[in-house]
Amino acid sequence: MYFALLSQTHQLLMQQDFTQEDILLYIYNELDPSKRADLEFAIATNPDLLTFFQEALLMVHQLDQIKDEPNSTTISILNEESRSNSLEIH
Amino acid sequence: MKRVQKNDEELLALYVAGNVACMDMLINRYKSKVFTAIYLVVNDRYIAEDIFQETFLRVIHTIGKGKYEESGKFLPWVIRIARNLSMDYFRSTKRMPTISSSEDNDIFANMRFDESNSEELAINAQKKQGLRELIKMLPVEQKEVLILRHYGDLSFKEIADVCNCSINTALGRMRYALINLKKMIEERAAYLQS
Repeated sequence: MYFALLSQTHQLLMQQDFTQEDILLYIYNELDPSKRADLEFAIATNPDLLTFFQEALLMVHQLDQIKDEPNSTTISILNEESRSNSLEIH
Repeated sequence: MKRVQKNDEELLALYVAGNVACMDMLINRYKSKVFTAIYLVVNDRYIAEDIFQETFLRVIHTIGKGKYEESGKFLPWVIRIARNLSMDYFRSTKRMPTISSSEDNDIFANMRFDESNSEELAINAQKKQGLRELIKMLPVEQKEVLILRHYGDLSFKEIADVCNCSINTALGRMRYALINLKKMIEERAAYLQS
């Protein structure tokens, strides 16, 4: 009983330490590595954090789908310029 | 035997040493990210082509002059050049992207779905361009952070430096950008179902 209460208190304390901004840092691999395990635990046990995590991850995945390409002429001009530039270097 | 892809710095070193194909590889590696970031900012494919070309011309010339000093940060460096050129473009045309200064801006407070706009949204939703169009509708500060973080690979600290704001502000803008995008997607879906 005592340990269960202690565990719940511990969970609440940990959950209060993390914000949605921490989740963004986690998703983009910028969170302090020493905090990753605690945040993962908080996400797993806090429905609000879990919801935000899932929604943010879904949006990030959708952002990955947007890809535009410059036209081939632009790339050819740049490739040509990099060759000219290389000749100047040497 | 598995071949290991060369990292950016190795390719740059080889280019400087005379292997011209290495710059082609770097351009090819990042052309999509850089072009997408520029296009999302300027909203015009032809202008985006020009800025993309000018960005990489500066990259090539800077490296040629031995002035590249961003070891390990090639893409963020390129994105910063692209951002500055995009800002120059807006300044030269005396046309700035729509400004919205409120940090916790709920864009739905300012977004009006009049009849023509609704039709336009419905058409766009049928295309794969839908999300791109929604990104363009974000408040400029949120859009900038989203583009710099997601497509430019700048850290939130680097974004804070570039945008002259705190890390918390950059994080907050990113958070609102994602929340607003989600809301807009839901609004759009509800509209299409009605």
